[in-house]
Amino acid sequence: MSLHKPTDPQAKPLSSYHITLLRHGESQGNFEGRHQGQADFPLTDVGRQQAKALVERWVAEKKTFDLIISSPLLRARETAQMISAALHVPLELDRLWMERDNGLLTGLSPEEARETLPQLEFIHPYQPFGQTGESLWEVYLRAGMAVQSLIHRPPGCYLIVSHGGLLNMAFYAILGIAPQPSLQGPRFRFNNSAFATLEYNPRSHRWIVLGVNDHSHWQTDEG
Amino acid sequence: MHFITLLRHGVSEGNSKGVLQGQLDYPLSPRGEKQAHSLASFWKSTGINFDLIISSPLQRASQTAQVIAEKLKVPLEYDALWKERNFGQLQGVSIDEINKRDPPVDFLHPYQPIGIYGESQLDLYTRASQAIQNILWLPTGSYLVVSHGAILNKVLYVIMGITPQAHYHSPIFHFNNTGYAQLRYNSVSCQWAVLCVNHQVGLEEGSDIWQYD
Repeated sequence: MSLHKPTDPQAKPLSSYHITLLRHGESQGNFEGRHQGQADFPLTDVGRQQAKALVERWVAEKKTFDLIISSPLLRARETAQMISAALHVPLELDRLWMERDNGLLTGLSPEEARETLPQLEFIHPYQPFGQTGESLWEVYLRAGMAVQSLIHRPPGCYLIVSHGGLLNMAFYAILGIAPQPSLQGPRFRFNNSAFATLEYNPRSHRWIVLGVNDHSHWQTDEG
Repeated sequence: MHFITLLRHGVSEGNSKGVLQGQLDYPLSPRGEKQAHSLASFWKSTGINFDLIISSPLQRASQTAQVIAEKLKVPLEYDALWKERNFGQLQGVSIDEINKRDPPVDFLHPYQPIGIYGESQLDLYTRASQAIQNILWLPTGSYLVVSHGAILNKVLYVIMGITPQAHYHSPIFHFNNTGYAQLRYNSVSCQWAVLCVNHQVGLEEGSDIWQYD
């Protein structure tokens, strides 16, 4: 039968993948409410405090990882470096986990975006975002490749430090949700420094979602 | 907006015994009652409230719902659509025993009644669709649903647009006892936001986390 008790990530050797998908702490671009995309904003002081609170929580929980893989964008990398240093876990950078390229929207405030670009009534999934950026399909395919490249590694405990848009498409790829036009698909909320926990069993191709948007180390009225 | 919280019941006597419950009617265990009270207190202290609680009529859910309804002073209704999956002749069998039979069949298609005469995945998916649609037909507001692991999984499938899949290849959304998901539906833009899945409050170590799909 198929009873699903998540396995203990501390039990070695592991036969499954324990994956934590983390969104970076608050960045200067988040603070200013900008379309960031691949624009390279650093963390704010609040963002660093969020990362610190998360590190303290994980230290208290004796949480550990075999490897941290991070988007090379500054806001993710800084978050990842703080965790890597505190938990003594090696860190690799991988461009597959970068945020969506949002074309001409990159770095713009909502006002600047309204002045610069036409407001579209409808966006199909093959349409480059911000005129020159990645379409939703492209982000979805990249997120799928990112997940696949993770599963090509040996089973273990992995922490991914990435971005809201890309992590949403990683969820679509994992759960089997197709990209949809405009903003019609479900949106998985990731607060700054919030994470999702998943387990993957490669012998049965079974994904278990253990939690989404866990940010108990940083409670806000944001959600 | 519809704010919808999907809550799995506290630990039941059936959970403690390690049996597959399905629609068998086990009450909450003392620990399950404690879980319901701590969650209700947490929600009260953080100012979370609901316009209506809708619960499965099975005792482990209805007792969880009653504790919360009383504490937060919210009206409570029962709806059989939110009952757990009917697992046919697997109901009441110990989970250890079911695991020993592994694998019972070479292949399980989504239309196949489970436990000979239980609900197929598609039956369950259909019932889950009906259950969530009924909530969207209510006026906008904040709703708490108290239900069960397997049916809540299919509700999330309906919301996210995931199709039931053959054999054991569908994703599982894990719900601990008194773990909950929060969702927001905007009926103007028809958009769903998944605010969290399997959030938990004050669960002590060793809490029951078995779940059947």
